[in-house]
Amino acid sequence: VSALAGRRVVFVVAGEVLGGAERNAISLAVRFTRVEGAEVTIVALDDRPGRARALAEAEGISWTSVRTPWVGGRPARLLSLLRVARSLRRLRPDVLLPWTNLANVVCGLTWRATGARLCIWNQCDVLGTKRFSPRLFRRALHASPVAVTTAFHARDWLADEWGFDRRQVHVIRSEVTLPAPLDGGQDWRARLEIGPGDLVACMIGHLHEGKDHDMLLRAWRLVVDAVRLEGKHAVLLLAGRPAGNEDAVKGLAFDLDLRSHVRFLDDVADISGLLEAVDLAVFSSRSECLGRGATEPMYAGLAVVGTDVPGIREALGEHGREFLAAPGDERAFADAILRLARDPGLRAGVGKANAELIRTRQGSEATSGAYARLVADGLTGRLRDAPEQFPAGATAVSLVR
Amino acid sequence: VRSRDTSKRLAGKRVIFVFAGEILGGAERGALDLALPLARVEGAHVEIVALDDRPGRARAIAEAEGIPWSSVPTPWTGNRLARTLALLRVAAALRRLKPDVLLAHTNLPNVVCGLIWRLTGAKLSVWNQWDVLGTRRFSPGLFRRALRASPLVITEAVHARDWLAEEWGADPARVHVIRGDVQLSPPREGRDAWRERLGLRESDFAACMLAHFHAGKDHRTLLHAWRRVVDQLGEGGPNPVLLLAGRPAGSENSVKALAFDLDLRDHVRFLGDVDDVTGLLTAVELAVLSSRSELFPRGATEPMSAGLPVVGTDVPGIREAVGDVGVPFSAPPGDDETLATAVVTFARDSALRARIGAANAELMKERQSADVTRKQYATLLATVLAGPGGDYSPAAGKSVPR
Repeated sequence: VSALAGRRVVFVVAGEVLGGAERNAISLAVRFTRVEGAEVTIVALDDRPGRARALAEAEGISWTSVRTPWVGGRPARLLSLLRVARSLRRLRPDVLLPWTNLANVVCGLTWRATGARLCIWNQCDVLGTKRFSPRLFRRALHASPVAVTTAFHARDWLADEWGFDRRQVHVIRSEVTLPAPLDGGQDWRARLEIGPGDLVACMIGHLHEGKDHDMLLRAWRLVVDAVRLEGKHAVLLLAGRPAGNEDAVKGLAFDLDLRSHVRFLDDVADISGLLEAVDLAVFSSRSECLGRGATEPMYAGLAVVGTDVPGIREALGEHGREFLAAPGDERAFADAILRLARDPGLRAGVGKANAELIRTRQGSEATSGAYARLVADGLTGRLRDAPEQFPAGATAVSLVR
Repeated sequence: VRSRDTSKRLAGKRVIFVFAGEILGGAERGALDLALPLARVEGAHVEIVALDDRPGRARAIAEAEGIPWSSVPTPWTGNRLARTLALLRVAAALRRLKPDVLLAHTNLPNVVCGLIWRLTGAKLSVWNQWDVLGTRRFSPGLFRRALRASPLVITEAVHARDWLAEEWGADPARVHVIRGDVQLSPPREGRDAWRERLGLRESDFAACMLAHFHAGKDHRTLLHAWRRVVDQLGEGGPNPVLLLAGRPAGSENSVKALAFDLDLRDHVRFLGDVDDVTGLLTAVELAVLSSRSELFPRGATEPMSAGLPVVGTDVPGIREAVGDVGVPFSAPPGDDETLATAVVTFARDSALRARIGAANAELMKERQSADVTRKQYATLLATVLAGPGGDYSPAAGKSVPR
C-alpha cells in the first residue's frame, strides 16, 4: 500500500490555461490518484476557461477555482491570500503542490495557515518574476520546506539567484507520455494539404515572447530556399495558442514571404497525431526549464533541432547537442535542420535515441514515482537532502530513495 | 527665422509653435507648412518648442528651413505635484523666449499652453485642434478647463468646430475654421523610378494609403477590401498592388498578420515612413484612406492635390475633405465590400480616374492654397494682438461658412 493512500493532495495551479507546467501537474495528479491512491484535488487561482480543467476532469480529477487576481494595494492582496488559505484549509490538505509562480508564492506564504503538513514549491521556469517583488518571491520560496524542479540548471538558478539551499531542491524530471493519436499522420498531412514529399517540421510552443519564433522563421526562410533548389517544398507547422506575440510572428512571416511555407495551427489537442505527421521537430526559445516542446517530440521518436539554452540542452541530452544552435544564430539553426532533412537515416537514428532517452529518463517510475516517494518522505519527516550531482545513467528514483 | 519688414502683419512678433515632439505626423506637417510663411511673408520671428526630445523627422525639416527648435521634455507622468512642476518648467522655458503668441498643436501642447500661457508673458495662446478623438491622457475636466482658458481655437474642419462646441462646451464664436495649406514638395524620384523600385509593372494598378499604423486608422477594413479587389479583378484585369506608407505606431504587426492571413503578399507592400510622398503619389493610380476618425486628413488632401482620386471611409473628416465630388466613392465604416467596389470602379475606368483626379486638384487649389491659409491665419493673429486687451473679433469665427 502506498504511503500516499488516502492522503489529501492538493495541486495548486495558476489557472485553466494548459501550458507545459499544467500538463506536468495533471500527469502527476493522475498518477497520485490511480497508482498511489491519494485523494487529489486541483485548485486554480483563476477561473477563465482553458483546456487544463477539461483535461483534468476527463481524468476524473476534481477541480475548483479560487480567484486570486493579485491586483490592487497591499490590503487587497492580503485579503486574497486569506481567501485562498481559507479555501485550501476547507480541503483539509496533507500536502500542497503549487505549480508556477503565482501558485508557488501564494502557497509559500499561506501553507502553514491551511493545515497542510507539507508544501512543495515546483519551479517550472528560470525567468524570475515581474509580478512580485524579488523580496516577496524570495520570502515565499524560503518559507517553502522543499522545492522540486525538472532540470539541474533550474536548481542552480534557485540556489544562485534566490539563495535557496540547493540541498532542499530536488530535481525530478517530468513524466512524458503521449496519448494515442486522434488522427493519423496521413490524415493530418491531408488536412493540412501537405504533399507526400514535402519536408515538414513542427514547433510546439505558445506564441509568447519567451519563445523565439522570430529566429525560427528566419532560419526557415533559409531552409525553404535551400530545399527548393533540391526540388522540395518545406512546411513549418506552429502549434500553440496566441499569447501576445502572434501578430509579430505572423507579420514576420509576411515579410519573409512564408505564406505557403508556414501554418499557424493554434492550440492543438491532438499533439500525438501532429507529431506523426512531421519529419522533425524544432524548438526555438529564449529560456526553458526542461521544455516539453522538446521532450514530447523526443518521446514520439523525432529528431529535435533546438536553441542552445540550458533547458533545451539538458532536455536533448548528449547525443542531441549537435543539433543545437546558439541563440540568434539562424544560419546554424537552418544548417542543423538541413542536415537532418537531407539524411532520413540520421533522422531515424536520432529519433530512436531520443525516444529511448525519454523512456529511460522520464518514464513513470523515474518521475512520478520518484515524486510520490519524495512526498511520502516529507509527510513522514524523513525528507533527505537532494543529491549534489546527478550521475550519468542514474534515475531520480535511485537518488531520492 | 526673422524678417525686419515692418509693413508685414506680424512683423517683429515672436510666434512660438509648441509641438508634442519631433515625430512628423499630419499635425506637425501642417504646423510646419504654416510656420515658414508666417516668418518669411508675414515677418514673424518663429521658433518651435517640443515637449519631447525623442528624435523624429519634424525637427530635421524645421531646422533645414532655418526654424530654431528646442525641447522641454514634459512626459506628463507621475502624480499631481510632478505634473504641476512639469507645467512650471514649460512655462519658465517659454517665458525665456519672450513670446507674443503661442501656437499649440495637438492635445498635450494644447492642454499645457491652455493652462500656463498667462505665465509665459504671451499676449495670446492659440489652441489648434487636430483630431476629434478626445483624450485619455487627461481627465475630461482638465481638458475642458484648458480649452476654456485658451482665448482662441483654430481647427481645419467645420465638423471639428461642432465637436468642440458640443462635446467640450467651447464657445463656437472662439473657434475658427481655417483650412490648412497642402504643399507637396517636388518629387525626388519620378513615377518610373518609384515603380521600378517597387517592382511594379506598367500594367499594374497601384493604390496607396498615407497613414501611420495606429489604432485610429482602419487598415483592417482596407485589407479585407483589397482581398476582394484582387479577387474581383481576377486573372484578366490589372494586377492590383496596395502601397501602405506610414511609420509603425502600434498596429503594424496586427495589420501585417492580417495581410498574411489574407494571402496578400503579392498585392500589398509596407513602405514604412516615406520621405518622398510626392514621388510616391506620381507612381500610383489611386489613393485610399480607410480610417475610424479624421479631422481633415492630409492622407486625403495630399493625394487630391496631386490630382489623384481618393476612395475613403465615410467619416465626417474624410467626407469634408473629399467634398461633393469624392463622397460617392466613400464607404461606410467597416464596409469592406463597398470600399472594394469603389476601388474596382476606378481600376476599370481610367477616364473616371482622370476626371475625378482633375476635379480634386481643382478643389484643392481653390480651397487650400498657401496664400489663403497664411493670410487668414496672420490676419486673425494680428487682429487679436491689436485688439483692446488682447480681445478678438468673434466675426472671424465665420472663416469657413457651414
